[in-house]
Amino acid sequence: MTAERTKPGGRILDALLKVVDGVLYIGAAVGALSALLLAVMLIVEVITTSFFAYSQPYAVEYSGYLLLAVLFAGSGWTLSRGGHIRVDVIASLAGPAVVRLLDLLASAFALGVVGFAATALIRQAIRTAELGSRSYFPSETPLMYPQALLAAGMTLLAVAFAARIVRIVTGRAPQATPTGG
Amino acid sequence: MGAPLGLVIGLLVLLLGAGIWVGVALLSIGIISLEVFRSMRVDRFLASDLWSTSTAVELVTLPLFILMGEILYHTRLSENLFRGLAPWASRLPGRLLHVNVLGCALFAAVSGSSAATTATVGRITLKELLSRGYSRDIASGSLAGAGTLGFLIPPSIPLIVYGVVANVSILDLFLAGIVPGLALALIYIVYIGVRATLQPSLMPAPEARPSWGARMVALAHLGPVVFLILFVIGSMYGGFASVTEAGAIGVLGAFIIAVAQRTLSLASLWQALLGTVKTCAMIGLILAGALFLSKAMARLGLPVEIAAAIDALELNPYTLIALLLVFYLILGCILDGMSAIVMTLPVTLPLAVAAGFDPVWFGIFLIITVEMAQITPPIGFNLFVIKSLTGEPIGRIARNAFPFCLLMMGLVVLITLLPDIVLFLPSAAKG
Repeated sequence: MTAERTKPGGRILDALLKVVDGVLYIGAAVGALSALLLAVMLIVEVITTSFFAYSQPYAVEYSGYLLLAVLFAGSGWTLSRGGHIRVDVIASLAGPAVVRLLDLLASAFALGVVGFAATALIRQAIRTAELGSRSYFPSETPLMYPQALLAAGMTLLAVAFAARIVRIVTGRAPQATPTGG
Repeated sequence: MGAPLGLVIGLLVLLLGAGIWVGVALLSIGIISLEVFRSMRVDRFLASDLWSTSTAVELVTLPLFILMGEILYHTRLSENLFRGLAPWASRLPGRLLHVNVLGCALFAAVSGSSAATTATVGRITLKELLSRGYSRDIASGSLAGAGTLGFLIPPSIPLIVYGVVANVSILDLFLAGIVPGLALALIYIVYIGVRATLQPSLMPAPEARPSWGARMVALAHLGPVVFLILFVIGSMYGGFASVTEAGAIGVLGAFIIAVAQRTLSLASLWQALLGTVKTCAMIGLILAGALFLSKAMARLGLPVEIAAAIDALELNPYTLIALLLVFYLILGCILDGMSAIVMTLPVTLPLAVAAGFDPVWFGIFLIITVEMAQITPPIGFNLFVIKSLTGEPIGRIARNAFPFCLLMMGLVVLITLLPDIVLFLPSAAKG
């Protein structure tokens, strides 16, 4: 029996956390593809406006939507890879038990804040859907879709904080084992 | 001090000290202070603010320049830089030690990040310098100092972030960074030359000087980086692309170089895209928190309160700038530079403007202080980059970098006394 199997929750929890990591990675993949699409769209825009006197009517509007995906869709995955910045002064001075307790409290606090923001964004997307609000650009895109994407990104960040708490409470390493890049 | 200001400062110290993630801490302080002192739907205000921040067109250039740097990391640009510059640097007092500065100055013109500049240039130059017998101390110190040019010479990620938060033209900021960036590179070159002359033991015995023919041939190695600089800058000034679109052109240029050098696979492209997401998500959360907090503070009237309090001290402009320099240096010891800028800007920018400083000038001033923070312990990020390259202790690298930190402080004095060093190019561009 390995040490990992003796951790509270055992294999079922390990499997669950793996699923969560997979979902966070999907969020990062959405962000990565959005970055690629953003670059391609703007390269095409420069070429068409410079040489064919044609501008893609959706370029400005959709660059904003793609930007939000790049900034927030991978936020949960970034947390799981230790990519978000925090001040580690106390962590560098205290013992492992204190660091673990502080990490747990910080993660719980962050879950509360990010959960509040995610709920606010979900409500915003629902309100927009109910009102049928559309963008003021020629495409008249229903705004509920990009707003839902932003809400999903913030929700994934909340999920990543929840997974971090579970890992700390059950004695696992707070960050996910790197997978998928 | 009013109750709202006391709460904001108290929470800031408590939450950051407790290790709460910077972006989350800033968001929470905005939420709590509005819930306590204002009767309003904070959730709706927050959602609307997050939506406008995350779709701000001015920010679109950010992921593009980051992606360009990520793709370039997978090219042979650093090898090209060393081969192209080494024969020319060998004629200067200090010889190949200058390759760090010249390489970083050139790479900075295609990179917006000082960490990426340090890592990309350093992974070849450090190995070459150490294998030829150059002093480890000045090799790592000069790399630490020169790597920070990535922030000052455009494109620059912190300048983009500053432009968005301060509502200042990013193009003006890019132009304003050029002369101070080149001046800083020149200051480093002079320092290295003088120090190497006074301490010849820093260098190995002189090698045979390369012929003029060899030097001219070596220039060909600089082709890719020169191509990319001309590609990006030419697209902007040739009227083909806006600043935002120039980022996309940079991605295309980096992609062309990577394909031409056959260094880009699908797997490395995917790594570059994921690296972009990681950096953007980190900056995005901090920006979202900082912009929300600044709006919350505005609703609570805090910037006016702070400005009035500082105004009452009747400081002269130079004292104010000296105080701000010390303030940001201290803040830079516990916080990464960009977080320090975005979270304090709502207060410090109005102060600087009221004291007669141009917002573009103040942006460059802040970027230089961020550069200093990048190479001061305990969390100077470039120190960690060099540690990963050399395995040396952080303390030793910081000690080696200290003279370069002092030189940056000298540059701050210079641009404070002669602000036209910063403002000349943006003014000239406007005609």
